[in-house]
Amino acid sequence: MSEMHYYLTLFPTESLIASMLDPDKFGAYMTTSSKRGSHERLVFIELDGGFSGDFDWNYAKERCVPHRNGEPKHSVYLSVYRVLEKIPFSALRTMYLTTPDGRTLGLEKSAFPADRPGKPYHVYQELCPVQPLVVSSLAPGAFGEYIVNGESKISLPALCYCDLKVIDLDDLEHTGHIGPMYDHNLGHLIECIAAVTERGKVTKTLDRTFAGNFRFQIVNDGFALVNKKEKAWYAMPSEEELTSKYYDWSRSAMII
Amino acid sequence: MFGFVFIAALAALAFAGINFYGVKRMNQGTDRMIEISGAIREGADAFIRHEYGLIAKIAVLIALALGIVVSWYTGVAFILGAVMSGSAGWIGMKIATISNVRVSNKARETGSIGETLKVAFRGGSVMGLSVGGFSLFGLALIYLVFGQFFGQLGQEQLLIKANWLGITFIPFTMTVSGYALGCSVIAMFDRVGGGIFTKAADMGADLVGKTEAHIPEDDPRNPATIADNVGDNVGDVAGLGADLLESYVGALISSVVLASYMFYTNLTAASGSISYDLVSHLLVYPLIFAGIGTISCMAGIAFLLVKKISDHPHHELNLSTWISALLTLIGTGIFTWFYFSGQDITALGFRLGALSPWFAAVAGIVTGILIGQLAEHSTSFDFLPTKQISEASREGTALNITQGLAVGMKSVFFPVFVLAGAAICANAIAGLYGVAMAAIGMLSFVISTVSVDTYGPIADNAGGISEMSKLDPSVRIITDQLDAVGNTTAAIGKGFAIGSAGLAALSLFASFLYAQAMPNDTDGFTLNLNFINTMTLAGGLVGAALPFLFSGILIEAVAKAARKMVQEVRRQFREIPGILTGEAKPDYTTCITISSAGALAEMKLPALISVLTPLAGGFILGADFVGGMLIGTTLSAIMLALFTANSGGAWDNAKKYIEQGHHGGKGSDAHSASVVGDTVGDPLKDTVGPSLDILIKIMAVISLITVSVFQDYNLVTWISSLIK
Repeated sequence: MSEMHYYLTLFPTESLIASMLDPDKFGAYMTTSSKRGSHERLVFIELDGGFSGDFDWNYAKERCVPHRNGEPKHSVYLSVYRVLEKIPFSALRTMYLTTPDGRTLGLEKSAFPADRPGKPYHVYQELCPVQPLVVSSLAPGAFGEYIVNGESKISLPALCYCDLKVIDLDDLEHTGHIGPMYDHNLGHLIECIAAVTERGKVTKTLDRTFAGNFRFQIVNDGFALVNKKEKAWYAMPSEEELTSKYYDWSRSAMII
Repeated sequence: MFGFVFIAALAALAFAGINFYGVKRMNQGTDRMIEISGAIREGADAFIRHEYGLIAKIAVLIALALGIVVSWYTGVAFILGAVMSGSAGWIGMKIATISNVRVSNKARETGSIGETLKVAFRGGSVMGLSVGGFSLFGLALIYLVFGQFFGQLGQEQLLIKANWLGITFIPFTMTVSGYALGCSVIAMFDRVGGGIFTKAADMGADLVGKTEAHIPEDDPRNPATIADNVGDNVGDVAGLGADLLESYVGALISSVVLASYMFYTNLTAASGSISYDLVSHLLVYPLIFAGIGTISCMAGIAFLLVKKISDHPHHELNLSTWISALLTLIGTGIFTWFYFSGQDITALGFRLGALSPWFAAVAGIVTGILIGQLAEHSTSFDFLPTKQISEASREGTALNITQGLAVGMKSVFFPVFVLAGAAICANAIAGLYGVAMAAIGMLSFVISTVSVDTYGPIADNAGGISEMSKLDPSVRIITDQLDAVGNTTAAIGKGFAIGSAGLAALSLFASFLYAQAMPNDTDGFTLNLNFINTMTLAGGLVGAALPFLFSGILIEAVAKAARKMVQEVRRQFREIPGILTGEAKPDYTTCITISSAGALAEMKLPALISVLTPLAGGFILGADFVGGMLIGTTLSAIMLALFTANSGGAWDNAKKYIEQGHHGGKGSDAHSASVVGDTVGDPLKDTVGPSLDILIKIMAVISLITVSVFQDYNLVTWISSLIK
């Protein structure tokens, strides 16, 4: 009998799912499922289940069983609302990034890196529970703390986000593979940068609904998860490592 | 002298055989590689079998018509030309589908660009040597059997004769024209059929697999990917080989026909008559010129195959081509000097002494190189025009298309300017015969250019096999590097084909006018085409419009086949849900069948247009109309061929430039726009452009063969006689 897995999907939608599929197959099933005919990117994390009383783990055990023909159960939704904030980060295991054609890359949890000073601004894609594109003067660690500490009106109980590659805006020819990020509202991006670097704003929203244009190829250092008590970090491999070790995924993600 | 030509042709074919079996003996690699390459080979074999079966029936009908209406030897020569062209295309396709997996495996085993390049080039050389060997062997046979054995090269046969229908012509000109027509008709089917096949598969694979399902290039989960790789072989190898063989033969025979008519129309001229001895020299000279080119190219190819190869494929391929060109120039220069020294060449308009035809040929070579360089300037992302298309893509699809159109249109002017200069220059050096020699010069090292051109699709296929076989990424890096060089060399090869077609068409056109000479026109004959004549002007207008009709039909044919392919790939993704997860295998065979059926169904009309239009024009409106039509078609087809080849190439490379990480790189909006531009350009550069130079020559040769019939028997003349 197949093993039961618990997955926290962070992008494009937030949910907790029990499944009999291993992460690779789960990612492919979620992104390329034949019935929907859609091809989405997926970010999800495998969890250790049974950690608190917020979720109905027994329901998962009852429903997540093989079909009559012996096929494994693909998905049993346990929750689709305010999930991330109820998950202790100690239960987080590997994060998976699945491309629209169903290739999955696993990222291991690691120590949250110390913020490096020096960069005048950062661009963040918030992934869960909200998905704006934001320019900020804060480094990744400080940005996460700022969002969850409750001191600002723009505050969340928990957040998953990633920092994005920043290009030289005076050279829009030699950009590397950055997808459509800089194709939209370049003028507004420049205004947002000016707002955080010259006018002292901490964060400035660049786009309230950019999620459809999010690409893995533009992720810079990695993915961060924060809540008021904890932080978790999933580092993105270097391009060289991706090419040599994860060639199929890298091609699929249009990184190479 | 024939002995040398035979030896050169047979040596080229023997060298091709050695390289063929040399490649075939190499290891094919893993079971997965063998399985994938087997599927590509089977698909290509099946298509070529069906295609050649269809062509054979049409070829027999044309040969019978030629045999009855013109002469039996024209019909036989037509079949010989068709067999030679078909053989070269078939062998080229075979070696390409044998080489691809071995190239991939060599990269896997050695990790060396140089060693891998050697295998790809050895495979490509089989096509090049087959093109040179078969075309020359067939022509040598024509000379030996019809020229010598049946005496058509004898003084008493180099006269305008009448056949049983009262149609007048010089027998040997009809024989070589029949041979050239056989080559041209096969080339037309190969180019059009292969072009439709490859682009339907390519567009189906890209539009659904890449754009909708987000699958990378050459991913085995894409149902159209094997058909795409089959298309590279039937379109870019067999089609290209037959195309350049046809160009080569067309250039050679244009000089032969011209010399024959120049001789006859000056038989009794009070001054400036051409002696039989001189015309004999003129008739054999192009063959020996080609023979020297063949031997020189063999040396250039051998040099690359035996030397230690560096990791700079472009440099190595260029070196081989330059060696071939240099040896050809030296060898033909020395030969020309001895061959024409002592001959009275004043009547021919040779203004630079015995070396005049050689200088004209050099003008052709220089022109070919210049056109090739101009093509590279217009289509390579190392230069501004293509970079401008990439940049315009950031503002959306419409501006990518608009900028590509602008680049394509602007790219026409300078090559045409160079071509015009070459025609004037060659004519000034050696008269109309010099113009024909310029075309021959341009193609004198065709074996090397075809070898290099064929290497490109082989490397491309090897990349596909590496990807589908899940070989180490380092293998794909090697094959990608080799493929990138192939893209540049292909653009240069197209420049040679179009340029030579322009010059050959000019000398064929002069022959068309000469062929209207009557048996009593032996005291000089004025070549006269009056564009004030309404018939000629009308012919010019219709002729200029014809390439647009022809191109439209071709593009529509590709679109029809591509639509079916898109629907099939979508169906497979919809109905076979495990394809993307790798749990189910796509149905590759159905995609190959769709491309194949589309190509076979759609290739007949364009080919028939090229054959029937001059006949219909001639038998309804007469020789003046056809004369105007040939000029009109030649002019607009050259412009259109350059425009389509260069705009398509520029769109393709503009996309590649973005895919190298510029203007947002892969996945950006600029990339999406450039993918659309590339897709629009695909049928232009790979189906329409290469077919237009064949259209020019088929129409010219058909007109040349039949002008003596329709100048007397046409509807307008008949109605006029009734009115009178």
